[in-house]
Amino acid sequence: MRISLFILFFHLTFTLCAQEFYTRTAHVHVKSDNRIKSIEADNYQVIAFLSLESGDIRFEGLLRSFEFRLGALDRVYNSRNIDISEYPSILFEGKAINIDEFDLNSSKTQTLRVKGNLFIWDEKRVTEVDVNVIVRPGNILDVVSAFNMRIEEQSVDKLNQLMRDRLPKSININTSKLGVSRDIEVDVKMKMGLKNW
Amino acid sequence: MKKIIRFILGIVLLVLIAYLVVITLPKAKIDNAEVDYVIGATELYEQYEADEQKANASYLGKIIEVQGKIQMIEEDQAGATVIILNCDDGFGGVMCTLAEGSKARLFEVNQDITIIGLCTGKLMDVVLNKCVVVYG
Repeated sequence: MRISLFILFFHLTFTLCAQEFYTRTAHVHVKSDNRIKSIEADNYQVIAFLSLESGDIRFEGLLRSFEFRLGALDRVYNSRNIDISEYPSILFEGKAINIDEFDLNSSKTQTLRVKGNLFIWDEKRVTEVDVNVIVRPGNILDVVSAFNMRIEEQSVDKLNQLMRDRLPKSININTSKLGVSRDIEVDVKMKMGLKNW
Repeated sequence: MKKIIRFILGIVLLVLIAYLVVITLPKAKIDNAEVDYVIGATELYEQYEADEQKANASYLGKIIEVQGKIQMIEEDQAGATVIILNCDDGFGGVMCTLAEGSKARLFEVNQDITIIGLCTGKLMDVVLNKCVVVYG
């Protein structure tokens, strides 16, 4: 009897664990256009979780882990004058609303409809996106998605104020003069394995 | 008139050179940077576990030399080597992503190692970026 209970417990635990996938090396690519040169940055140290049981999906990356493709910008960003301690990470928390349709045994590309909140800096957006998932051999999930975030007018004002505070008064530039787009593209790629703890 | 044209051409040339310098400037590296803290992986992790805000005030954006044992070796999506240092926690550790252009080397689990990296905060692990192996 005890052995049967142990086997049942072990089986249930394994089944539950088998439904949870994670990675600590997901990739988030952020892009914003402007008149001079597009600003692009990458973060390869993003942690992500996906539960096939509940449909919960979450990824989080530290702002300091972003590396700008433009070397000069990367140097400025890595200087100690930039303070990001108030909002240290980019975060998405959501749920796949059609998780019941997902088949772990299919090798085809499956699309999950994910609804959740995306937090960047002090911006929060309710977002609904399609997430493409391919099941690879060895229970590896390749997960790809693309978010778009439009910066609100009041946040552009905050950014202009920040530039006025930081730059000499004689340099009279703002985001509209630089042609900075209010749209931020966020691409996410994750190669997730089974969570084994 | 010629002087004005030369002046304008000079300005255009200067702007072009400045633009090329900005565009081709390499990314920030920490190879020759001064180390701010020398600490063991377990101690660093425990400080973050105890009080993340306080630990961030000390270590965020700073260059840290950290010693520990390799718990896991992975490769990220850019092909960089990622070394997780053991912190006797079971869940988290210290995650060190080796800098772009680091020489490909063989590392072993349980190997003692000393790594210098830029501390970017804590997720499940304490995260170090642009890392360089100094011992191991």
